[in-house]
Amino acid sequence: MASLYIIIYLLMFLLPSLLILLRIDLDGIFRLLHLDFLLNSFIFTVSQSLWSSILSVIIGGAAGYILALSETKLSSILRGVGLASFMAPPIVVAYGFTLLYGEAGLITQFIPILSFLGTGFSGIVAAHVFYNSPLAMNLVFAGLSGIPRDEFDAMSIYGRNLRYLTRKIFIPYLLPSAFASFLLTFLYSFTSLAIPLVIGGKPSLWTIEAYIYWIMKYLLDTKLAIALTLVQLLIMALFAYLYLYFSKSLISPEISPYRIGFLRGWQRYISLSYLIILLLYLVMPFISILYSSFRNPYTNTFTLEGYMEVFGGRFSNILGTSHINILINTFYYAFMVTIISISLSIVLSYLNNMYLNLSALLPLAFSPVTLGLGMYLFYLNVPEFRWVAIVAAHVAASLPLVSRSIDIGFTRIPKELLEASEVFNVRGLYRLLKVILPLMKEPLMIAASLALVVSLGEFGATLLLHNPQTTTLSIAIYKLRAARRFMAASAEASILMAITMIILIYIARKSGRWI
Amino acid sequence: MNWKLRMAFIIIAIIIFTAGYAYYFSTTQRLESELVIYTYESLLKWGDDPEAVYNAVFKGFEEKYGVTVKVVEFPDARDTLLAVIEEINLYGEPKADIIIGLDNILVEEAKGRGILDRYIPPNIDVIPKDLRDALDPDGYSIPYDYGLIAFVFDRERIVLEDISLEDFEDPALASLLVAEDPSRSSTGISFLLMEIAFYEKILGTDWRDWWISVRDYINVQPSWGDAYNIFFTEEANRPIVVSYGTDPAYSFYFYNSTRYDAVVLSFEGKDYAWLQIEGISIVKDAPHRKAAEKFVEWFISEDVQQYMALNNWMYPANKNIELPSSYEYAIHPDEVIALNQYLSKQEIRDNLKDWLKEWINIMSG
Repeated sequence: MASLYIIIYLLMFLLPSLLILLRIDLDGIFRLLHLDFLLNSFIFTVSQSLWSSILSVIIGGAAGYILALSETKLSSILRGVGLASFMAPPIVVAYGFTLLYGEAGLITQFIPILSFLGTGFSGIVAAHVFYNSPLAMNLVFAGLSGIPRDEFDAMSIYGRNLRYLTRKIFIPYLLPSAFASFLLTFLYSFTSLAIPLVIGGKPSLWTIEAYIYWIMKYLLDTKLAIALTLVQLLIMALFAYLYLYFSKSLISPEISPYRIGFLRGWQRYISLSYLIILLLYLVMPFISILYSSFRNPYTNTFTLEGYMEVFGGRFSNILGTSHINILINTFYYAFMVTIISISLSIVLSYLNNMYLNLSALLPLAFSPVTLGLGMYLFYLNVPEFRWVAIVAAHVAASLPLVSRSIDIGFTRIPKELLEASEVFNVRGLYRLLKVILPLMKEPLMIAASLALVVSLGEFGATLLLHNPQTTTLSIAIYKLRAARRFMAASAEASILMAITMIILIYIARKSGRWI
Repeated sequence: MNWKLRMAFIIIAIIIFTAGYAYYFSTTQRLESELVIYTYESLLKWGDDPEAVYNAVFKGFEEKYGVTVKVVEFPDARDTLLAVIEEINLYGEPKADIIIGLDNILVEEAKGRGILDRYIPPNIDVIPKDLRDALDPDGYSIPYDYGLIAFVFDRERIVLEDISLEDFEDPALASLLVAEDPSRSSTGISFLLMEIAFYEKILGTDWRDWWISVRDYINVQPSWGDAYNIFFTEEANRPIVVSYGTDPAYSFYFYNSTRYDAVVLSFEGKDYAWLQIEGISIVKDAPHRKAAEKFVEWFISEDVQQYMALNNWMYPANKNIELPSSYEYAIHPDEVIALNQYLSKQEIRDNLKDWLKEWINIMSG
């Protein structure tokens, strides 16, 4: 089984990635060093990532702190919406932000002062905060929910002084989670593509990731793109290592965390208001897309035009293929990604080899465009392999998440059952199929849902790899928006959003235990 | 069910499913007898009835010659070129037969990459020779329309007269301008070369200085359509857009006013502008060469050229076409000094990539 895993892993990730390293050319590196935009984009990428991480930790961390300290029905709603924000397809989020806060946006036409949320540097940071503040919220909430009851009770003897307990108990438990979410947010923001391309627009607001894409696509300079990829890879590897190192000290959330119920009176009202504002911030981009899919901006009327245009094939010329083909592609890739990444993860967990487990986390250091570039070099010489390249990139992107989810499920199988199967001489594939997998139905479903969500929303690698015949829903939204077919773009975004939401609702109902 | 049987069933299902998709994929890729045309998405879309014009041009050809046409639209003309380059690089053969929209700059890039084939249609005499020579004297691209790059402004928000590029070095004016990214837009690249020709050849100064002075204020959009969208959105407060000298004719035709007016560069009492000539080209090793030749002939004939002025809002290249009255408000290329003459085709071929890198260097700051 190990050899099977290694072969698929080599084809789906390692060989394409190694090919990037093998194609490094001194000429590319030399030319890169002479381009000013390397330094400029590095400064921009780091500064927006820092701002996004700091603000996400503050905004999301504060929400996690409030949720842990108060008993409110908002908790499950906010955590559910937070999961939707965190897992939402990047192109949907970027598009939602421009609809809401862009020029003459749904909100900015009434409150122009909020246009900073939809344009420029601040717009990019705002969209990254949208994505990542739920991550900080959940990690901080989990960190505080992990406080041992006896420790808390012992401290409480000295009085239920919030400031004292915050300093002595909460902060020590909260800090590792906050730091982990800071590092993870930094990683995600560092490799952001759809948001700087759509919200940033101009080159001074492009991340290194956007420049790699631009060099490959518009300068057709593979050597230069590879040299820049190397720079990004080194930085990513450092942060991925730091995250993995610090995430070891994270506290797993309790299945039913107790609520401390501390916030009373005015503190409670202010806290709840804060949570409601955050909830609105997280929900509004989704609502704006749905609203825009029914509203004709030119006639100011409500209509099904956008959906009819999409399903009627009106923009097949722009998309290069029919809408039904786009749906077939999107679902087929998602299906294959789910099958492959789950199979790999099961094999990994079953073998329980430290090195193989680490191999599944390695793609964390590879940005979507880097994965796309590797697949481009490895697969695209054969026209029939273009879709294989897209599936492989999606598998690599989903593997760290899926393998972690399956692994957690594996570790929670009662040891007695495994020992009992040993006693009855039930081994190998038979044991996996007859004993282990039936006990893992729920984590398997969660892992499958995660793989589906990652593949459905994947943007960076697909943007680099697709051609008209392999267009997916994410790419269709990007193209229709670029062609200013806003109703059709909103309709496509609503379809993608609806599919993703159904899967996420399932995850939200089962999560806590498995993610 | 036995677990081995179940396992075998799952594996067979996956194999059938994958084989089915591979077959579906290969059939959707196969183009068979279709004539495949790559173009930009706004071609002939700006008239009273774009659908009728589309049918007259493409369906009309299908009916006349019995050939099925597949039109693939890209955000910009440069995207069509990039798509063909990628296809040839990866697979050694193109999928497209024809590219519509390569202008006098992009055609140099395409020729440099060796992706076009020479073809002179039998009705070539309908196109003036100077126009053919200005686009490509070798016949790798045949002109179908032309127009000047100009600053288009909204008279209800600002009035421009006798403007020079140097005027935009004033942040107050630069903050009102929206332009196109030259790496992604053919309008943008024409504007960049206009600026380079003006600064390097007329003023004798470094072209980069202008971009350095405006980069913090100017709004740069990926395509002409995006730029126009910002221009029309009054809340964005960008009442000047880099567009075409024919836009006032459009304004007069649709709004019966020249609210959207245009100016070219003014310097020492003379007017300067960049002349953009768009052409139709046959791709090298086009799968359907014969049909492609017929289409080029068809595209420059009066049957199609009659639609250019009021649907693509550029001067038709066919000299037999009478211009509509609204074109009195357009800036005709004869009225200005074309900056194209200051940059040779060889100079463009040799420097285009470096100019784009320089531009991105400046704009990334």
